Amino acid sequence: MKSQNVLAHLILYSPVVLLACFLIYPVSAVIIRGIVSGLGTSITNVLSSPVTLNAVSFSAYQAAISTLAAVVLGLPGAYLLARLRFRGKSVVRAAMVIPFVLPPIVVVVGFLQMFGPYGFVDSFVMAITGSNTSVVNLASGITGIVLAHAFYNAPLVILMVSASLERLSPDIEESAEILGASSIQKLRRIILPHILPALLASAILTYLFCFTSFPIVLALGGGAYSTLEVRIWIAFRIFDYGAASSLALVQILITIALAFSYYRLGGSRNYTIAPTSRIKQVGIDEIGGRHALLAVLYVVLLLVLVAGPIVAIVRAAVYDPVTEVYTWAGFASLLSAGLGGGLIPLVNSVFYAGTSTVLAVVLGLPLAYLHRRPGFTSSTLSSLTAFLPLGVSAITLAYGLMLCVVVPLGLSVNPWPAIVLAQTMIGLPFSARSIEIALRNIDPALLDQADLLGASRLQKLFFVELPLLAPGILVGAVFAFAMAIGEMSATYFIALPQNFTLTVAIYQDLGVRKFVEAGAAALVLVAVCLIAFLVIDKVTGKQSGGVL
Amino acid sequence: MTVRIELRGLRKEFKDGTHVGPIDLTIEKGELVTLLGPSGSGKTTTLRMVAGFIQPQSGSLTFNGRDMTNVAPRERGIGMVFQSIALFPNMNVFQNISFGLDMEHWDRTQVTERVEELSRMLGIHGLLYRPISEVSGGEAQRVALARALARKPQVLLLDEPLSSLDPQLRDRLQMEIRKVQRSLGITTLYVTHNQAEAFAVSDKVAVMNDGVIIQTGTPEELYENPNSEFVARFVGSGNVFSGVVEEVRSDSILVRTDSYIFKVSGHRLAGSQVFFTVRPEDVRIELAESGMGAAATVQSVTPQVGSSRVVLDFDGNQVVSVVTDATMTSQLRKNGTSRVWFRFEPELAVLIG
Repeated sequence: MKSQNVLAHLILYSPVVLLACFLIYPVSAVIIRGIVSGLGTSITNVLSSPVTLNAVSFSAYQAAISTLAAVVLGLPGAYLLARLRFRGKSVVRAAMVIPFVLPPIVVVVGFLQMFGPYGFVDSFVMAITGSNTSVVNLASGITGIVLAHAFYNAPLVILMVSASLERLSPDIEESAEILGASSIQKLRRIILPHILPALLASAILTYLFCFTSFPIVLALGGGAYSTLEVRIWIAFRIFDYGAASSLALVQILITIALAFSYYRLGGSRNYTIAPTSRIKQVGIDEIGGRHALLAVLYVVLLLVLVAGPIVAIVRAAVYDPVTEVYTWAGFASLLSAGLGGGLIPLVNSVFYAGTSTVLAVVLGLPLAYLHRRPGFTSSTLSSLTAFLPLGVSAITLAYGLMLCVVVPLGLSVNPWPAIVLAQTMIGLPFSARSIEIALRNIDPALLDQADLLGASRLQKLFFVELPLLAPGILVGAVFAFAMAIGEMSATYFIALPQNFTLTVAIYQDLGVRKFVEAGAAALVLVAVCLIAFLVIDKVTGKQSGGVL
Repeated sequence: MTVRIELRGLRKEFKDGTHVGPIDLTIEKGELVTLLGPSGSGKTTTLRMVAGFIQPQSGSLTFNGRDMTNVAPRERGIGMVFQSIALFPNMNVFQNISFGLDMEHWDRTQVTERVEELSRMLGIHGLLYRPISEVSGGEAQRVALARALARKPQVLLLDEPLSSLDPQLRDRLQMEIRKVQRSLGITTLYVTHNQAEAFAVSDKVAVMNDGVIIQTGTPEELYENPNSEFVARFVGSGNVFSGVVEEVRSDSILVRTDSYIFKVSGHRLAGSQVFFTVRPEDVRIELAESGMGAAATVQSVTPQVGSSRVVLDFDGNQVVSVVTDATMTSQLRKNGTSRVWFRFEPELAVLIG
């Protein structure tokens, strides 16, 4: 009995231990070493440098504008999605997950094609104005960055806020109505307070993602703009470990504060409401002319901004803007195994993401169980463990893994295990959360029933719990796979040319203006994400938003 | 000002083909009328048509003769308590009660006075500054009532307001609701599926089934003279007998059921199918055969206040009897599921319809 308990504890706490070894230790080692070794710029110099101040203030500033844009763009959508009754609603809801799982570098490709020079929007304006040269370029500078961030996060706001709105009891609304509240008063005094926790949570999450944004700022910012993460990257590239470590420390402190406030909001998110309550809905045919027009305009705007770049990738895959011809060269290159060909990155992507998905699930399971354990410490420990990877700079992690895993183990010739580890850490929050949600939905009475019918602990696990958890595990795995295969920053940092993945290949291709090659690779990743979305939709029905 | 409410031919059809109405009902000034019926019978739909949340397709709804069909809910002068109570979770008790007053832009001192007055009347004065999450079920109920009454509405609508409470609390609160309603003289429409609750609070009860009102009357009228088998079963004891008229006499008829012929006061044509009901307190049980009663077996003996409720099986139908005699009760208990005989005076049986 006693040894069984020890084993159970060992299994439960193994993810925490592994995270300590492969996340906390490498990252702290990098930071401490960088700061105390005296290599490169000292921490006081870094902290007082105007460059750092610029990077911090730019990170904060662009994240604030991006968050504002995502919220402004997302709120009407959340309201429509919750309030309207229409066919295919669950598909629309599930499709909101697609942008979130798209790799940032793929989004960059789509954005260039949609909003960049000679892209769809530009061509349209050129045709109207009769101009031969590019007129608008919305895919570069701060505009491009903010638009791309809004693309990512508006669906997140829509999902989280509409989920909260849907739990607004119609009785509450009618009570307010009968007590004389006008629509505006109802919105201000009833609806806004109701969605406020979800709105704040989605805003903080959005801010967190935008603050640490790397590929989008690097690729669309064109070197003129740099967030903290970009500065960390640059510092590592010029071997200024002091600067890199100090910047990483600053970033971690900020992101942990954000992640912590998100976690705290999560606790206060549920008002006491009837579990069966469901917001009052109206059919599409019931909305009046002016409102219908506004709704249509909004949906068009959302389609242009969110669906547009995804669709544009199809064109990016076959149209070469340099030679101005349609070509299959991009796909041909994907299948070429030679130098600069796409086959090796493709195989690498699938292998690394697949392996790290298995690891993320294997670690996510005990982590989810740890979260369900009574007592403050284990559940907090599990939450922190699951959240930590979200708050840590991927590049710092990558450098930490190089320092603490690759070099000591002599993997420098082929550092692929470090890539898999980094991708595992990035997928883990999603697999753990998805499994935890599935675990929460299991009726404890079922397990008691299995107990009474004489099932042993293992039988209970294998014949009752795991089959019930299977959909949650699958969704978690799909999410983890999508996040892993889309990962670029850490992979790029660790990878030698033979380890390049598709995302890294796309970034490289864009740098040398091999646009169709980048487009074709991006299209493959879009296809992977679409398949992921279909699986999630199939498995969860309409609750896919919960995993975020 | 009090209001007389009239519903004339009010009817609503839903997309799935079900419909409610036509409903005809009058609620006199200051009266409390209850819609009583099983779930799905159309009570709440009717109430929501009066509130204005559901637009009827036909018929009229008037308050003191004024047509209300096109008046918005918030302009109808209505106070309403929902089944889910629906207190605003983001406000405290005071803010909940004063919400309607704020919407009307009352000035601060008046608001405070009004909230104090109501909270004293309903015994919730001590919890005005509590958040809603810290208020118990019974207290929440009182807060909801105070909130509904704050604007001095002309009409009060109560939709299953006590259904989530335990029986003791429900008994107490239904008395309080009745007292408050009486003292304010406010015209009230009350919805419930609980017969005892309906009888305890109402001046008049309208029994609904399948979207229409089947019978309206005082609780006594419904109990003593149900007009249909449904009303007899739903509001009465459930003692409904059916049979064929075997013989017509001067002031009574003989009704043949499967295994016995009952004598019932009243008149019906010979050979016709009839239903009649007998109140449980009028059913007498005998332990020995006297040739005057119908044979049945004892199913259960349940003690209740001042008596026992005995359920008999008569030809596969339930017959309920209230037994006040303690020795009879203990004898029945001792015998278990034994054979007994029951009878009733012909004039205490009520022919239905």
